[in-house]
Amino acid sequence: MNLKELRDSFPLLEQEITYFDNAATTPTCKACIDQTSTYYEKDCFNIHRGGYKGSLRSESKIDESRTLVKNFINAESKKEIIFTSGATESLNLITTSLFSSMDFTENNIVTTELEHHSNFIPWLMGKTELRVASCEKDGSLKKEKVLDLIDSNTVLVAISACSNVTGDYIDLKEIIEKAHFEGAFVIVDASQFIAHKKLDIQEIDCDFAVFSAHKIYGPTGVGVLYGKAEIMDSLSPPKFGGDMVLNVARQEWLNLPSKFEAGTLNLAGIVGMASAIKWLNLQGLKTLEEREKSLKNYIFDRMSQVEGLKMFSRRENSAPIVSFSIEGINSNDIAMFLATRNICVRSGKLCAQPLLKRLNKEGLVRVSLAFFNTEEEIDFLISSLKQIKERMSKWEL
Amino acid sequence: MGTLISRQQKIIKELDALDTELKQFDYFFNKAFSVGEGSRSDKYLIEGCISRAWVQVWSENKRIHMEVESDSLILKGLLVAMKEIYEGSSFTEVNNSEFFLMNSVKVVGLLDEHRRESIEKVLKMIIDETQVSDRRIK
Repeated sequence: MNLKELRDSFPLLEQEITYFDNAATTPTCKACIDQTSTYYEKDCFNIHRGGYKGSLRSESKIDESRTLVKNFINAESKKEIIFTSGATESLNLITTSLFSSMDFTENNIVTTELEHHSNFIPWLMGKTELRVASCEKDGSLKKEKVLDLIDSNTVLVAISACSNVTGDYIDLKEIIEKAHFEGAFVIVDASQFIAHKKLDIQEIDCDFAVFSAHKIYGPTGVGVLYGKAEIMDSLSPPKFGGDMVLNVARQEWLNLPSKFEAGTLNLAGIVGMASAIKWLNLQGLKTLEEREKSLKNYIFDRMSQVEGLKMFSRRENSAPIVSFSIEGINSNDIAMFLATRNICVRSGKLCAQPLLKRLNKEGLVRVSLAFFNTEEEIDFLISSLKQIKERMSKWEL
Repeated sequence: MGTLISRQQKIIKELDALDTELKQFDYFFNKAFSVGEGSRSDKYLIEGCISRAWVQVWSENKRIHMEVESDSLILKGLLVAMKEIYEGSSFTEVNNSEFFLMNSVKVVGLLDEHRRESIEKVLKMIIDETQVSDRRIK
C-alpha cells in the first residue's frame, strides 16, 4: 500500500489538518468527486419515463449503482436496495413504515444503550414498549443482556453492528437467531461497521440494514435502506409522491424499490456513492482493514502514555474509534484546544446520551481513524494531549 | 471602571495583542481561573448548552450583577469576560450599548453553535433582567 497515493485520493487532506473525525464523515474520495461532477456535466437527466437518450443513460447509471451497492453488501436482489438521504432517513422510513403497516401496541421493541440517537429516538415515537439492553460500566455490551429481553412479544430488534462511541463490534449472530426464532424482525445500523469491515447481509441474515455514503468516502445526502424483499413487499410506503405509484385511484404502488423511493432521488449522490464503493473495492477492503488495525494498535499504545487519560474503547474486536476523557478537563475544551492545532476530533455526547449516562460522563472526546491516517499524525495528537495536560497543571498549582 | 463599551474594547485590545488562537485560548483559561467557583444549582443551568454552564443574573438599584460557572474552562472564561463587561452596568447602559465582543475574538470561531447560543442566552437574560426588573419597580 502506497500511503502517499492513498492520501492523494482525498483532496480534503491537502489542507493542513490532522483529520480524526472519520466516524462522523469521511473525506470524499477524488473518484467520487470526479464522477459526481461528470454526472452533473453530462448525465443529469431525470430517470424513468423520460423517453430520450439522456434520461435512459442516467437511468442506466442509477441501475448500475444499485447493482454495485447490492454486491457491496451481498444482498440477494437489487430491488432490496432503497436509496435514501442517509442512515437517519433510512431508519425513520422503516420506523414509519412498520408503525403504519402493523399494530404493535401489545408488543415490544428491543434496542440497546449503545445506539446512536438515530437508532434510538425513532423507536420511542410509537406506542410500543421499548426495551433497552443496558451496557456495562465500561460501555461494552454483553449479548446476553439483549438476548434476555427478546421474547415472543418482540416485534423488532434494532441494533448497531458497531458502536459510534466505543468502536466495539457487536456479536449479532445469536441475537438475530433468537429474534427470528421469536418471530421478530432485526434492523442493523451498519453506519460505522461498513466503513471498516465487509458487510455481508446474507451471512448475518438481518431483515433491514442502513448506512450512509458519507461515512464510506462518498457524498453527503445519500444512503441506503436494505430490506428483505418479502418483508418490504408487505409494508406500506412511508412517503408518497411521484415515481412510486401504479394507480392513484386505487392507491396501488409500484414494485420494489420504487414503492419506497417517492420523488426524485439524489441521483448525483447515488452515482457518487457507487464511485466511492468502486474505489474501496479497488483498494481491497481487507488491505484497508489491516492498515486500520495497525493504526488502532499504535494509538492504543501511545494513548496509554498520557497521564490521566481514560479510554472507553477496546483494542480487540473493534473499529479504529477511540473515545476518551482526561481527568479534570472538559471534553469540549480538549477538542477546542486540539482545533487550535488543526486537529479535527469530535467531543460531547457523541449522539449517544443513553451510553454516556451509563458511563457517567457529561462528554467524551472521540478520535476516529481511517486507513489514510499516519503514525506521525497520532504522535502529533499525543504530544498535543500531553501539552493540554501540562497547561492545566500550570493553573492547578 | 469605564463604560460597557470601553470595557469590551479593553478586552478586545488585550486579545488583539495575542496573535494565535492558542494564546487567546490561554487568555480565557486565565480568566476562568481568576474567579472562584460559582453556584451549580439546577435553577441557574443554561438549557441546551453542550458544556454545562450556570449563570445567575440579578439587579440592585437598576444595576446588573452576575455570577457564572461552567464545566468548560473556555466557556467559563468567556462568561467571566461577560461578567467583567456587564457587572455594575446600569439598565440604561445595557439597553443602549451593543455587545460586540464575540465578533472580535478569534478563538470564538472555534466555538460550536451550541456554545455560541449559550452566550446569546446569557445576553438575553441580562436584557430581560433590565425589563422585568423595570416592570417590578413600576
